[in-house]
Amino acid sequence: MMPVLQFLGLTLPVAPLFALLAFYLGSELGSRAIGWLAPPERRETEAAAFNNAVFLALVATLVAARLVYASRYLRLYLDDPALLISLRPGTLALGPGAVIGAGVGLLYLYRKRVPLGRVADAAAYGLAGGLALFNVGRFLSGDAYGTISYVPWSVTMWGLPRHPVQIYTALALVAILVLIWRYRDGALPGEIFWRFTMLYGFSELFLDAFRANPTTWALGIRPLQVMALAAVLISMYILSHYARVRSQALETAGQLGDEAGPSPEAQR
Amino acid sequence: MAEMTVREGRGEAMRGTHVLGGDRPQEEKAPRNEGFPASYWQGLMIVTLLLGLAWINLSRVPVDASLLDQSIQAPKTGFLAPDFTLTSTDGETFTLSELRGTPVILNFWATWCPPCRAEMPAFEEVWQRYGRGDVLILGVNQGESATAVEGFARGYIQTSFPLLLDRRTEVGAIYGVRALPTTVFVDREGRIQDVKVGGPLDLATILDGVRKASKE
Repeated sequence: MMPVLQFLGLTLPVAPLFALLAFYLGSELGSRAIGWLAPPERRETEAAAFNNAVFLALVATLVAARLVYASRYLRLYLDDPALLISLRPGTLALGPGAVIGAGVGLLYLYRKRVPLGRVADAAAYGLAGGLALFNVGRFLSGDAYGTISYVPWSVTMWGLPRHPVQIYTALALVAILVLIWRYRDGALPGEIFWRFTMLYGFSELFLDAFRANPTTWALGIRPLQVMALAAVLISMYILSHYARVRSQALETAGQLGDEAGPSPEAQR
Repeated sequence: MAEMTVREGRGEAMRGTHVLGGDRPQEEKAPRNEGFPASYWQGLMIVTLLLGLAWINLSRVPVDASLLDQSIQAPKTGFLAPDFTLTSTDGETFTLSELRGTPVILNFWATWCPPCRAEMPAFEEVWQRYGRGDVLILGVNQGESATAVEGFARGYIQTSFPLLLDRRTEVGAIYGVRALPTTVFVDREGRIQDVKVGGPLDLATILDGVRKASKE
């Protein structure tokens, strides 16, 4: 484990460092992906808009996270407003902040007329790459550690040999990234995103069983697995809709071909 | 459902606005026949639901397994705080395991550490606010003599909470302290609820940690 990194005389906590690197990688992959997915005349515009949206979302997330946190200790922050600009990351409500930040980013892209489907597809690539790197950081810092195991590849963490579940997750995400890239041709807008959601849901449904100390519901049920299963089923339903649209398009194209008769080449 | 209009011509279809995406280029060829048919997806959903529920049932956390990790001592949130015995500058001995029933804040610090000094007033304010009964703050000095720590405490930081002497930094090593200050919030059951590496911690952060450590 390496919870901190000594670099040029500085002691850097690994977990937040890798979170930042993961965010950078994810946004970079997403902006490149939206450039690949967009028509040639829109490539530069949409890639720039995506980068701007990510930056805006980040700023909005930090501001909203600090304000939500401050609302929990309102008296304290009213007495000392300078605390609002503290650089201390522990005083941020990141969950609510991220929701607000994502909303700001999407609103910006809507105003720039970037199609939601294309944004979602680009975000799928960014999420796959970013989350993979994030899980490597979790492995190094010892967060989200695995259940006790004596398999040959187990890693001693917090005093006992354990499944390196963070590495399993990172490898799964890399495989998902390769798959959604490999089979991107012919995908309808938004379809790549739902494929990613389905595959990531499958990986979380399976791999969460190897995480130690999870939050549990009654009877020891892992809520993350329930949410992952729901995400997989919703994704499958939506992908079945895409399949129907695709087959209707093919039928229509086939009918057009019949009505138009044989091609000039065939007639010669 | 997607709306589709067709144009005369061979093998071409014009696709309009897609309900799940955005605008597509106006003219494009019909998509290649990729992916699974719709009926396949419906069957797959049923199989996934059944297998998923079975896997969720198989991977439920048994009660004894959930308790296993909780009996391990490790300097990590969720684990029991590693036990230790140290003496304060006043000569009082503190053993962590004997302090169960009171939330404890362990603040690893040193006189030569500027952020450590900067956050001392905030810790003192929490100490004054909660007193010794509700929250116990222990400043665990790393590697310095009693004379140096006492002189610093009286002359500079003027704290009144106990300052423990970890002369050989053995307790710091057990807690994996690699940067100063490091603050560990321990709950009434002796379990670590939060670890903050670096500082200076402001009052809000410390109060947040106290809240986590004080939960029943």
